This record gives sequence, structure tokens and C-alpha cells, in this order.
Amino acid sequence: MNIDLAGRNVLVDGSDGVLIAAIALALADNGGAVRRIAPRAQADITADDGSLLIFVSDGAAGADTGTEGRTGEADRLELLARTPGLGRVVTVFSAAGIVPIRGLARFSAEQAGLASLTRTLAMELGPHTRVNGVAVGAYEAGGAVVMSRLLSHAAVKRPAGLAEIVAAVMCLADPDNSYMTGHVLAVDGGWSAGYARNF
Amino acid sequence: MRVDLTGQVVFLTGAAGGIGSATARRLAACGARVVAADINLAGADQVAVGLPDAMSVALDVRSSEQARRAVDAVLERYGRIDVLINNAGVNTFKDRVDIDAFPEAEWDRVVGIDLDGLFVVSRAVVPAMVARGSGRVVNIASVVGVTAMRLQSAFVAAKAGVIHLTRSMALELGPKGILVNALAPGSVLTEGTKALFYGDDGTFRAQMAGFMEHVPLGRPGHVEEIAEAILFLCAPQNSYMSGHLMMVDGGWTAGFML
Ligand SMILES: NC(=O)c1ccc[n+]([C@@H]2O[C@H](COP(=O)([O-])OP(=O)(O)OC[C@H]3O[C@@H](n4cnc5c(N)ncnc54)[C@H](O)[C@@H]3O)[C@@H](O)[C@H]2O)c1
Repeated sequence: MNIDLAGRNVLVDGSDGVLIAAIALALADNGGAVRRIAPRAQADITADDGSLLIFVSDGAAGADTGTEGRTGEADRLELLARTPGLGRVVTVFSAAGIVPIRGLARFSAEQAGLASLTRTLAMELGPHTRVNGVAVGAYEAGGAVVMSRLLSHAAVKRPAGLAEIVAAVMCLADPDNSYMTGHVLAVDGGWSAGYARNF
Repeated sequence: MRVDLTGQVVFLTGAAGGIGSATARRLAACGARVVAADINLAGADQVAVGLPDAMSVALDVRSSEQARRAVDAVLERYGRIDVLINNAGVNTFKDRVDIDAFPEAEWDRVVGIDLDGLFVVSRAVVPAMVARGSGRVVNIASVVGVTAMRLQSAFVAAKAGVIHLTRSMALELGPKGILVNALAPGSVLTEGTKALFYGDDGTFRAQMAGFMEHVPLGRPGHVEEIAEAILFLCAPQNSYMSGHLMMVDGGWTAGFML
């Protein structure tokens, strides 16, 4: 699946990791002028109508214990998303932001906060700026499975590959996809759809 | 987005309508062989005739007998069905009244086509996908299946049913290699909605003027924009989404706008 980002500035924010690297690579391969913003760096960014902001939460990388690294993510997302002129924002976080996970109270709440912020920003920044999100379930990254516990309840009985998450980001970054805003795509193999087991 | 659907057979109900015909054109442009199914055969013919290696079939989605015959005809010609798009649907146009006055016959008509019909067609098509161990189903729902509205109780109930049925279909069919998702269009400009909400030029009738204040993008959608999102749900690369409801509504249901 290819999209046309020729001539567009793409700002990618988030900690280093295989997921963010795959997303940045795909955006560049599709013509975007990709610039990584160092996490928590001073956000001295400017944007024009064609520009995109891709915000990848550490939660998407399965940082599911403790709080380090994610505190302040919502503040940062809001600050960056309000950059005047920005055309699109795509947020990427954990599917725990859609359905909370036992034992991960704080994590689930923080990720749900990003989901809610995605929707609120869509209302506040429209019609100029479209804001959508991707909620990721279990996926395979460098031989390990992130959030593998989700597999026992997923309709698709395997983790995602990075390319499948990237496809959803591409969909939301696509200039031709023009009537979506305030939506979160779940790329979780049906994990958040219901109970994939027979009781 | 550029997606390659070369050789894929797409069974599309309601193909003669606004969203249906735009979807047929978009998927065919990506190489798909479209089966245009509609109760309006002349309309389906018109859609299919302009597309490469497409066919049309007469289908009232309420009839399991017609659905079975349509599937037989498709399998005979192409030998496979890769994608089912359950798009046929009707809404209440003249009986816009509260439930205490809502005509029983209108309830039966709307639920019969929008919900029962989707079940009937899915039941007829899915076995061909199960046999091959792969397939996609896209169910066209509506924003009203998520956020209720007044004066159209049958449509609201039917579309909410479609959304939840999508989830249970995904859970059942996932292990069989079939991905099932729903798509909820917001208010989209078609011949029907022009008559109801919009003038011929797509501007609002006076009484609907406040409506778009609830929609962050501030305008109705175009059929091509719905077709683009449907294409994503059919894209081979998009292979880990299932049981999902994709909102294509200009942000209408994102939250409380006032
Ligand atoms: N246009 C909108 O604003 C909007 C909003 C939300 C949801 N939708 C949904 O999108 C889908 C397509 O709607 P549209 O706007 O293109 O409407 P449309 O009226 O242009 O098309 C609907 C098509 O379904 C066909 N149909 C009706 N009854 C049928 C039956 N019993 N069997 C087979 N075909 C039948 C019609 O002949 C028509 O070609 C519907 O499910 C509708 O509920 C549309």
C-alpha cells in the first residue's frame, strides 16, 4: 500500500524503537521529508498545511510497567499538535487505551488519555487539522512479541507484523483519505472486539 | 492510496447506489473484479458495464434463495469470492416519527434489509471464503449505530446490530482466515440525502443549517471519501485489523462539540 507524501514535511515524535523506525522509514519511502524530533526536546517546530505530525507513545512499544518515559506524553502531544498550520496528526499508542487491562491500571489510563486527546484535538483543530490514532495490539518486533498476553483473546491467532501497523499509519497519513478525523483504528487482530474464546 | 487488488473478486451489495457505485469504481481501478449486486438490476448493470471483467446480479438481500443463486453464478464465473461488502441499505425517509407512532411495516422493512439482509448475504457468501481459508467482509453501518438519533428507531437499531454482529463475525471467522470489519459513514452526499438534508448543490436546507456545527470537518462526506476508506479495509497490507468499526464521519461522533 503506497501513498503520496511528496513535498510534505513529516515530523515524527517518540522514543527510539523498532516500531517508530518502521513508521519513519515507510513515510520517507512514500515521499515524505521525515524529521525525527528528539523525545522531550524543545519543540521549536513550524509547519505548513501539508505537514504531518506522527506521535508514537512509548506505550505502543509495550512499556507496560512503571511510569517512566510516558509521564507527560499527553502534554507533549497537545503542545506539538497545536503547532499552527499542521495538516494532520496521527497518534500511535497501545490498545490498552481502548480496553483497559487488569494489572496495568496506570498504563491503561494513560493510553486511554491519549485516545481521548486524539478525539478532542480533532474537534478543536478541525476543519483545518485532521487528527486520528492507531491503537496497537500484540506485534512481533525483533524476535520478541510485544504485549503477547493479548494473543489469548485475539480473533487473529498471531501477533501483527510491523508492516501491518505501518499500513494503518499510512492510511491515516494519506492525503486521499480526507473524511476521517477523531477516529482511532484498532490494529489488534480483533482483541478489543470481544471474547475470542468459547466459554 | 495505491492498493493492488488484481484478480480479487469483490461481491458488493447495493452496488447501484451512491456509495456502492463509487466503491465499485474505486476497487475496479485497483484491479478488482466487481460483482455488482442490487435489487435494482438496471442500476447494477450500468455500474458493471463500465468496469473491466465485472458482472451484475439481481439480488434482494432479504432472500436467501436469491443470495444462493447469486453466489453460484459468481463462483461459476470466477471460481472465488475474496471480498464481501455488505453495503445495501435503506433508511426511513417519510415516516420520521417517534417510536410510539413508528409504523410496524417500516420497522420490518428497514430491519429486514439493513440487518437481516446482511446476515442472509453473509451466510451465503462466507462458505466460499471458509473453503479457501481467506477472505474479507466489510459491513457498512452508520454513525447512528454508535450515537443514537431520534425519528429513525428502526435504522438506529439495525445499524447498531450490524456493528455488534461485525464483532461476533470477526471472532468466529478470524481463526478461519477471514477478517471482518465495519465502516460507519457520517452524513454523505447522495441522491437520497440530497433530497432529505441538502439542496441539489450540496448546501444545507435552512432547517439543517445547525447540523454541521456538530461535525469537526464542517461538511458532509463525498461518496469517493467513503470508497477510499472501504479500499483500506480491503487492502492486502491491512491484514491485522478485524472486528473494528471504522468511523468515516468527519469527526461527527468523536465527542461532544457544543
Ligand atoms: N449516504 C449516507 O449519508 C449514509 C450514511 C450512513 C450510512 N449509509 C449506509 O451506506 C450504505 C449505502 O447507502 P447509500 O447512501 O449509497 O444509499 P443509496 O440509496 O444510494 O444506495 C443503496 C442501494 O441499496 C440498494 N438496495 C435497497 N434495498 C435493497 C435490497 N433489499 N436488496 C439489495 N439491494 C437493495 C438500492 O437499490 C441502492 O442501489 C447503506 O447501508 C446506508 O445505510 C449511508
